[in-house]
Amino acid sequence: MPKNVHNNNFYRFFGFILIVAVISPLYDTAVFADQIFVDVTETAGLNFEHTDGRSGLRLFNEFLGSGGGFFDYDGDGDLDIYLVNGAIQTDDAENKIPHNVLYRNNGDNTFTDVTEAAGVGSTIYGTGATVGDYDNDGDLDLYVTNFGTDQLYQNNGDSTFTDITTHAQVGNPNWGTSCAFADVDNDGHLDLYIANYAEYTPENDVRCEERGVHVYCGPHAYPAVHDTFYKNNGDGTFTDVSTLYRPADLIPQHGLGVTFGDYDADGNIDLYVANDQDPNFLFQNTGTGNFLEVALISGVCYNDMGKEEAGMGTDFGDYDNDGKLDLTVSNYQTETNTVYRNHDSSFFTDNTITSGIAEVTHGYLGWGIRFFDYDNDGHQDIFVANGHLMDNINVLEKHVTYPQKNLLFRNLGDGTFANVTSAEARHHDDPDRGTSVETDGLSLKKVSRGAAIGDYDNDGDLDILVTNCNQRPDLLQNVVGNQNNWIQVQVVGQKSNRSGIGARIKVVTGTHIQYREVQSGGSYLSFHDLRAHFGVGKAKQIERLEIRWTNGHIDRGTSLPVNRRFKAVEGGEIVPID
Amino acid sequence: MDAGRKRHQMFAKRVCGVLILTVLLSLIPSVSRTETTSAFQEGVEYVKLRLYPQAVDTFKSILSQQPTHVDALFQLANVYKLQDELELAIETFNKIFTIVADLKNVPTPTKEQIHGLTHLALAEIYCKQSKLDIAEQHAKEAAERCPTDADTHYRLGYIYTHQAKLDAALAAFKRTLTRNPDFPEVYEWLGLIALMRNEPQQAVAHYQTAIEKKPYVQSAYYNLAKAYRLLGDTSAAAEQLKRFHQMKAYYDRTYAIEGALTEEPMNTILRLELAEIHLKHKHISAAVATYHALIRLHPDAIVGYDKLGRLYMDLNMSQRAIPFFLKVLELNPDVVEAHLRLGWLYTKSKAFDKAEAHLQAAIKKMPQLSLAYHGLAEIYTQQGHIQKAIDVYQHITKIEPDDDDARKALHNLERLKQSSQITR
Repeated sequence: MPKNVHNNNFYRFFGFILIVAVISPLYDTAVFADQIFVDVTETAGLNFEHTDGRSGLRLFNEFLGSGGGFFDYDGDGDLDIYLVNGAIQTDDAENKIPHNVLYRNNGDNTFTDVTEAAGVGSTIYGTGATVGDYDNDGDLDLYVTNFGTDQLYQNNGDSTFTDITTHAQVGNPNWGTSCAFADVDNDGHLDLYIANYAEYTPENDVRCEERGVHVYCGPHAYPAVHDTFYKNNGDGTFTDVSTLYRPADLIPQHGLGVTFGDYDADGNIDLYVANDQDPNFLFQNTGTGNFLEVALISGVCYNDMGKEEAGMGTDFGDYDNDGKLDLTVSNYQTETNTVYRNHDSSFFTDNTITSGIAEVTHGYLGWGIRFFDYDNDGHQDIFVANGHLMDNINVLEKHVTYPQKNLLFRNLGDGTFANVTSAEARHHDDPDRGTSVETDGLSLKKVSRGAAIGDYDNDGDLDILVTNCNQRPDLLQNVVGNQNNWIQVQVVGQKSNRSGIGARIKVVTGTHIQYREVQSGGSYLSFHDLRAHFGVGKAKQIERLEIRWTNGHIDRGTSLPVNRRFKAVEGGEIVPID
Repeated sequence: MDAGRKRHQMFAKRVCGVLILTVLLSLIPSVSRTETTSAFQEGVEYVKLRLYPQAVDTFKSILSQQPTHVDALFQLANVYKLQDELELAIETFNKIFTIVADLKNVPTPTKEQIHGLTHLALAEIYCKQSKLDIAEQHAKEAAERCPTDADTHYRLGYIYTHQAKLDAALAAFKRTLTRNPDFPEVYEWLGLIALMRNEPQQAVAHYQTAIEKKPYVQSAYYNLAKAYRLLGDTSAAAEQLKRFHQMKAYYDRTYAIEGALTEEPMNTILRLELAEIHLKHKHISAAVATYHALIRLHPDAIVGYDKLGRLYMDLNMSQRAIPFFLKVLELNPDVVEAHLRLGWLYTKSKAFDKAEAHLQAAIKKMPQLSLAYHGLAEIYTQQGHIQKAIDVYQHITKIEPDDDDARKALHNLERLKQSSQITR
């Protein structure tokens, strides 16, 4: 054994040590001095337990997990939570029927299960979800993808929903995964894109083995199916325009991650799809009723070895604050996640290694991934939800575990990221229970899938919701972000879609300029706070705020105070909400 | 059914790189006894043929008799590594350190070399396990103990690249090239570093060198296209992407077949298809290796010897082709085409008696085979036996009245005969 072989682990702790210690008396959960996120799932009352319908047969549809996200379904100004569930697939189910769950935010850091009253407790084997005001009536509607027919829940505006899938003609019969709303044709109505995974039924399941060990099959065990794209007709119905929009010669791939963003800044929202072990898609919106698939010539089809990776989640975000949307993709273990930097609005460079992401993520199997500024320093960081796909991976690879830690990368502002994830699991004693409770949100080791971002406690920093396979979700409360200043902008379209999805927001503080696009999807099977959140460091005011709506109209505000939440109605003034 | 996931992991080893440690008997000074040499070589053959279970059995058998057989232990560990049994591989490689330390009558430089190569293998494994800090320590040890070995410096450069320590990586790659200027992978990494540093012109130069040295690697074309794109030369980028697509299709197909062959090593059809694909892309050495694997696995497979003979014929390597056709005839003396080809090959090398014997054998089996007669006529012509050649051509025109070549040759020979008679 060489000298010092095991003595270099300080490297892993590096970013961790840099975090400023904060202990907040406001939190009733013990907080370690250098903690960034606290696991508050239990105290928040999220009792949801996910099931993947594990049958012991390792059915192909068991491992993708289910997602969820944050949205203000009742319009009371705080974020509620929706969680998608799987289903029991064998006959020996113990009369337990898992279902999706909606939690209403009580406004005091706790949640109440309102699923039944709201009417969104689907029992179909669910995968992903997204939200958007598809009917422009001022409340957020909910679309759920399933292993089975997908569902659209129309928000009735009275805290209840109606399943209007059939009427709206959006019952995608394929195995939908991630999905997102966006106004692709700029007509003021939200269209809907759904990534589809594979042509599979449990009846045609095949057994896969690796070195004699029964494992979950890879995607190529089953044929891929084309994704689905629905155009909103503006009358409460949609038309499946998949074949019109996609290139005629496009080969279907195993779609998992979806993110919309106007990467070429031409005013037409584009789309990136992460495919599993297949080439990824970058659909450039021509603005004339179709997409061009330009991933290869844009440098975002493969990794830097020219090879397909097992793309899981993806997100557009401007991590270098140059006004151009960059991309990140989560991938399989031993592949590394990818960071693509937008070079000139038509070509991306692979900055995975130089960003510092490669070395760390190589050892993890990534799913949910999202750019967000957790510390409000004005630079978008990255969170990744991890967890292996094979429940018995440890039999094959002793050094790999099924549950894995999630990762948080802090953007250092120079094109690089530091891993600030907690190095070890940390607990505190719970005298009531006489047990040790894990509270450090970044030391949890679970089989994570989805990751949604939002400020659920309205305290000015972004929190995280992680969905896990066969486990409860994790609500991770940010306990450091609001040491820096921030603003949040809720956009309300008038001629543009009411949710403001696709609106591009520019915030100027001194010489520092930041951009966000309002997104309904991104990450993996998840949806996020539709309010655009900006950390502005120690800046005392926002010198300029610009909103470019999807129809090209621009609204401006100047000299706005920090640490406030604003509402921007298209064509109107930008005003504080509270 | 094989698990697609695992295959993909092998397919997309970015951090694990492309370098396959090919430490064979000749690289490790033998510290073992000769009685196991043939078994050891058999084990190595199994490794080459990717018959890993057989290789494991062979090396284990050797080790049961000679527990300190370092070569066998090294190869056993190497097979575990190739099978992705990484923990077993680490454990086995680590045993080598102990055994070598206790070996007597082994000179220190030899021990150092064994230590170095073992560290190198461990570095590769820890790369696979995403433990680059440990891999780095092993690679450093390897480079220290085997400073003249290009692979050790390559591995360090590779690790430093993935740790984003680009200056250190460049220095390591430079040391690699000092020791082995023909190391194509190094130029690829130099190209990638240039791309990372936004130096597209340098990247172009490095990738062009990489392609020149090894034209079968898709990533070089892909990244060359990216470099051109950064330079604003979109047509050059498009051209390289076209080549990338061709190479990727080639790679994907060969990769799929190789994967299938791992499960079905005795599948002749697949192996032949693999060789044909290599040939189609002019990857001759890979085609040759595939055919050789075929005949090692199927010593009676005539098609393998025949394909190798033809391949060497196409390469104008007559002397290398001949033994394969002879083997074809040894397995089946009735293969007329082998006689024909041998007739042609021996004629080319002026071994006219042998050539004639094979052509006559062909004629004996197929009396109407005009090609064989053509060969005979050629031999006689080259030997100056004009009349004998004329007789043969006349015979051809009888059995193949429409054979214009025979008529022309006959006409020319008759004129030659007449002119020589006049001269006389």
